[in-house]
Amino acid sequence: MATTTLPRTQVPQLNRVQVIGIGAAVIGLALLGLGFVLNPEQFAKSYIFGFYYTIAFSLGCLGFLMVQHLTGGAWGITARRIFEAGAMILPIFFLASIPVIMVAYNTFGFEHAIYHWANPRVVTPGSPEFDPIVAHKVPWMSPLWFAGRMVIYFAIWSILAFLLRTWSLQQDRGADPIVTATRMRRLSGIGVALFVLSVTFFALDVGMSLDAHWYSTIYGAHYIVNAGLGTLAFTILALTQVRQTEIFHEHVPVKPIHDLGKLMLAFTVLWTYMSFGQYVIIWSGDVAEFTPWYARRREAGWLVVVIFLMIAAFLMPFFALLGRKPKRNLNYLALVATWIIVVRLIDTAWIILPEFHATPTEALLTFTNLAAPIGLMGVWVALWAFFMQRASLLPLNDPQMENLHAGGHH
Amino acid sequence: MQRRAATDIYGLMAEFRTPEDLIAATHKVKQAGYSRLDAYTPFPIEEVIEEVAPGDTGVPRLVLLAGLIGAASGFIIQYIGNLVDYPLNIGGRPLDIANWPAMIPITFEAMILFAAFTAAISMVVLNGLPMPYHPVFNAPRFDRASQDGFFLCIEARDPLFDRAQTAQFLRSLGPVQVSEVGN
Repeated sequence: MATTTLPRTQVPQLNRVQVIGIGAAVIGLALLGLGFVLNPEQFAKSYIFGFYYTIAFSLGCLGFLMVQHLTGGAWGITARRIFEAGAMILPIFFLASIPVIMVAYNTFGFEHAIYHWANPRVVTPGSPEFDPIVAHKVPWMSPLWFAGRMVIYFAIWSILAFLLRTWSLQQDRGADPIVTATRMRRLSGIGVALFVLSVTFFALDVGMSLDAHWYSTIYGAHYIVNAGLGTLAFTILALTQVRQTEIFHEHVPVKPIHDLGKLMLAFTVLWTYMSFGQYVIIWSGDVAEFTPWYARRREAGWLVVVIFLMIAAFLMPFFALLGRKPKRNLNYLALVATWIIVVRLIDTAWIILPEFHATPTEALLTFTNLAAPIGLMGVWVALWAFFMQRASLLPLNDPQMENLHAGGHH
Repeated sequence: MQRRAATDIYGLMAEFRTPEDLIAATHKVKQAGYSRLDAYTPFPIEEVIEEVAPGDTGVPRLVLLAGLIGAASGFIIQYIGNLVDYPLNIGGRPLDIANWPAMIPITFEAMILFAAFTAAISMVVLNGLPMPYHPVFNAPRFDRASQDGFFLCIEARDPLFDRAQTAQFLRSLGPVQVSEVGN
């Protein structure tokens, strides 16, 4: 069991994934660049949307990485390297957050600041555009503190991802498995608390503050659940690429796949709970302070998207994942997972884009709204495949491997 | 009561010392083609459950049905009560079907209530409980099944069951002992 050097992963499928990722990145980013030339303001809006969508997958990976260190279990050890590779993208994706910070600073000099609170005329008393509600939030909502927070979030995430990855690789190379496992578990305990706080504030900053008047206390939790659901779906797809490798044949039974299917069902229900909970509270209260956000998302055709989400994001995956047998079939799960990832994009679009577009048709016909998520996801997937190939597919020296073997081989 | 014919026993019970032995034995018994078997262990062993589980127990379908009935009744009872029989203006909320979001929490709770009760009750009933008598308790040392013994029983109603051959087969799997279980 105690091997000193483990082979790095040479999986042709991962190479292919990387090539597809690079292809999507080139096409997406080229179109995005064209969008910047044609209409910088629309580019900025689409970029925020794409960034908010893409980084959720990395955040989900980091969150699940820490959760599985704390809970143990066969699903965690099976997916650990997938989570590690996704979390390792966070330090690099700080670069991707720079355009968002530039938008907050209004570096491109738009007439109407995309982040309303970043417009000095809105927060300066005596100005004709003065908005006392937004002005009241200036100590928190200022470009400098926005940029500062962004640095803090990425510092927290990068340190957590980097340490967990480093210790895990040390374990691979023959460091005492118990000592490294304990160290990773302890860091994860603190990390999970920091993670929930930082991701909540990140969601409030990047997503919620697009409407500086409105606030919802469940917004951050909703984003975390969205990230978790997207990540589980991505994990299923990632497993389809590595399932046929020798190492997976030898060590991974069907149980962890079944468990990931169950988690996907649970997160589908949790997403519905968060989404509907927020709505029903605001709808019941019917207070003018809170309703405009929803009013905007029900008017001018956006209601169609709402109905679509009720069916496509809840009913369909819920019933598709209800049975026991389907959840033990990776190919079937991959089908559902693909659907979930697409629907995550539409859900994120419904959360973000009504701030920029009056109708969903307008949002759909704006090509940068598609180019941004495709380009950034392409970069993300290529980086994921890169990190995936820098380590063994399973952390073979981890004490948790027992969980897989106790699961038996059928 | 006089001793009955050979097939009149309940089955053959093998006792194993460790869960691993039981897992291996169950696997071999399954491979040999036996289908009417059950295992008795101090704690649930997933691999053994996979092998001896009778497949479709009917509980999942009943729970789904009860959940759907529960959701429907939860919704309808609110609809009739709040909107048809006794419409009451609460905070200016609509008095027609547009009021549906307000009814979802109770709909959800009613679904959980029906589904959970059905799961618990149907599990007990379909298991044939309460059952004051069961032949397996005739097996020697069977009380160890709730402490440190791992038992596997091939029942006499199995089509492949043969009192002598099956006993010999079980003995070949390395049990502590094999014994006949009277009815």
